[in-house]
Amino acid sequence: MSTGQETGSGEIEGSPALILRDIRKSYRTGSGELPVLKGISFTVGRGEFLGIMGSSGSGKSTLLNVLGLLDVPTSGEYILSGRTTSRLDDRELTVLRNRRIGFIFQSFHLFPHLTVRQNIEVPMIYAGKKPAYRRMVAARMAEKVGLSHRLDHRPTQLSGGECQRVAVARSMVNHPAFLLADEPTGNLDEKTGTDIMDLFHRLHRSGATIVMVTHNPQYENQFDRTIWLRNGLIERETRP
Amino acid sequence: MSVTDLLILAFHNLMLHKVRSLLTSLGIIFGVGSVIAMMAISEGAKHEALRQIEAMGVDRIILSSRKPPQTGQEATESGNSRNTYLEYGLTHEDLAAILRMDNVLSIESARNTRSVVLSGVTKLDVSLLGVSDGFLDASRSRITEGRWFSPADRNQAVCVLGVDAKRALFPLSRKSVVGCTIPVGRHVFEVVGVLENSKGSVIPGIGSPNSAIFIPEKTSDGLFAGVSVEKLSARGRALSFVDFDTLLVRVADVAYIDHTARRISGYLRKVHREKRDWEIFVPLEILRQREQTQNIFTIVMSSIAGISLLVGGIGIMNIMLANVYERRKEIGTRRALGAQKSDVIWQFLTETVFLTSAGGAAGVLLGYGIAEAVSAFASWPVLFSTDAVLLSLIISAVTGIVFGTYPAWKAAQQNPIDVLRSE
Repeated sequence: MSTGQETGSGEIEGSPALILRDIRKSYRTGSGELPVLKGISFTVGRGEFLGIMGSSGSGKSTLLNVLGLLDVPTSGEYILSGRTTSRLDDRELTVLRNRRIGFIFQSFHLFPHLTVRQNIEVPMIYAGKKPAYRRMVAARMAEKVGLSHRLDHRPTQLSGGECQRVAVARSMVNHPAFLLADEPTGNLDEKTGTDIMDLFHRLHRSGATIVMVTHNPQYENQFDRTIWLRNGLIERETRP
Repeated sequence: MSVTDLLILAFHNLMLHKVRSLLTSLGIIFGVGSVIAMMAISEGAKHEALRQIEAMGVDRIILSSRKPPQTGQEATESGNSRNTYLEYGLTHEDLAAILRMDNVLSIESARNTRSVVLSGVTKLDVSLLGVSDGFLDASRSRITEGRWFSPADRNQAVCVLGVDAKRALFPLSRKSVVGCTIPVGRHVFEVVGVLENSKGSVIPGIGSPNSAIFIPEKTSDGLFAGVSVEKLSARGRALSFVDFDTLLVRVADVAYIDHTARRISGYLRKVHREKRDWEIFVPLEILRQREQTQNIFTIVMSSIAGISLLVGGIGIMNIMLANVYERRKEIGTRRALGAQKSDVIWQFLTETVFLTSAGGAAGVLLGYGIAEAVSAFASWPVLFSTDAVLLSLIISAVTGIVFGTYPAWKAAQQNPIDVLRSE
C-alpha cells in the first residue's frame, strides 16, 4: 500500500481488493468463549478469483460474514479497498457493504413481488441513485448476464439459473470492489451450476474480483487460488 | 432512499396482501367512520339549536306568561252555570316598570286572544295575536306580501298573516291574499299583508310567527278587552285575563344582559310573589349553556374516538409485528444489499402510516355514508365540518406513526447474518 494512490472512489490504485490480518472471532456461549476463527490472514488481489473451501464447522460461514461486513471480528484487521473497517460504525459499514461488496446468495434472495429490473435496481436505491440512471444500469447489467428479454418478468416466472443471473446482475450495479458469492450453485442442478460458473468466469475475465465460498471440491480447479479452512484456521492454499 | 421510492415500496408491499391490509385497517376505518358520523350528527343538532336560539335574538330577554296551577281561582255562580275567572301573567304595570329599567331599550308585546280560527268547520292550528307596532322587527320576520301595520291601523279590523296561517286559510290561492277578509268569531278582518319568519323561530308564549294571524294591539284590546275564553261548557265558562303573553325586551348593551335579566326577575318575583305565572328566557344564556353542554359532549366524543383509535392502533401494531417477523428474510436481504437501519424503519413506518391514512380516508367516507343514512331515515340535520375531516386524517396518520414505530424499530434490529446462512 506504500505506493498506493487514492482514486475517486476511495480505492487505492494498485492495492489489493482486500486484506485480512489475523482475524479472530469467538462467540460467548454458556460454557465460555467459543473460538470460531483463530487467526486468518490472506490478501485478495484485484481481478483475482478466490475460492474458500472447507467442511461444515470449519468457520466458512463466519468468515463469509466477516468478509461481507455483516459481522465484526473479535480482533484482527480487515482492510477493504484500502480502508480499515474495524473502527467503522453500523452506518459506515452499511455504506461500504452497499458500494464495495456485491452479494450473491445461495438461495438468490430476490424480491418475489418486484420485476427483474426492479430487483436489479435495489442496491442503487440505497446508494441514492436517480430512477433514470437506475433503469439504464439495470438494463446494462441484465444484458451482461444475458437476461435483457426478462427485464419485466418476476422471479417466479424465471428458472433457478435465471434467478441467480438476476442476483449476479444485482450484485454488480454499484461497481463493487469484489463479488462475494455464497454457494452460488448450491441450489442449482449440475448443468445450470456450470452455466453460472461460466458466467463468473466471464466476469472474472472482464476484470471482476470474486470471492466464492463453496464446499464443492470440483470447482477447485476453476479458481485462481483456493483457501482451505479447517477448525477456524487456514489449512492450506492451492492453485490449479 | 427517496420519499417517492418509499411510497412506491409501501404501496407495493401493501398491495401484495390486499385482504390483510384491508383487515388491518378495519379498526381505523370503523373508528374514524363512527367519529365522523357522530360529529356530523352532533354538529347538525348543535347547528339547528343555535340557529333557533339565535333566531330569537341574542340581544333579547323574552318574558312569557304562564298559566299558574289552578289555585286562587275566583268563581261566580248564577243558577246552574258556574263561571271561573283566572287572572294571571304579565301586566301593563310590569311592562311600564321594566321599560323604566336601565339598559332596556324597547319592549314589544304580543297577546294571544285565544280565539278559535275556523276554515269552514275545521278548527285551524292558528292563533290570533294582538301585537305592538315593532313586533315585526322584534320577531325577526319580514313582509313577503302587502305591508305591516301603520299607525292609522290602530283600532282597525285589519290583520297580517303568517305564511303558514295563510296556507291554512287559503290553501288553494296562488295569488296575493291582500284585500281578502277572514272571519274570526263575530269579527271580520281584512288582510293587509303576509309575513314570514325564515329562521323558524319559536317564541316562548306564542309559538311560531309563521302560524299566527296578527292584529294591532289596540284592535285586540278593543275587540277582546283582555279577556280570553279558555273553555266553554254547558256548566259555564272559564275565562282568563291576560295582559300580555309575551314581552320581547331589547337591551341596549348585550354585555349587561345577564344583569338586566336578573333585575327583571327580581322585580317580577317581588310583584307577582308566589304566583309563578311568568317565565324568563335569555337566548344568550341558553346559547352559552348549550355551548357548555356541547363542550362536554365533545370531550366524551373525543374520548370514545381516542379509545377506538387506540384499539385500532394496537391491532395495527400487532399485525405489523407479525409482518416484520414474516418478512425477516426480506429485511435481512435489504440490509445486506445496503439498506441502512433508518431505511428499514422508514420503510415500515411508511407502510403503517399509508395503511392508517388510507383507513382514515375510507373511514371519513364511511362516516359520511352513515350520517347521510341517519339523516335520510331519521331526518336529523347533519353537518360535515372540514375541521373534523382534516382532524380525522391527521389523527389517523399520527396513529400510524405512534403504533408503527415499534414494529419498524423491531424490523431495523433484524440481523442480516440470518439471511446469509445457507438454508
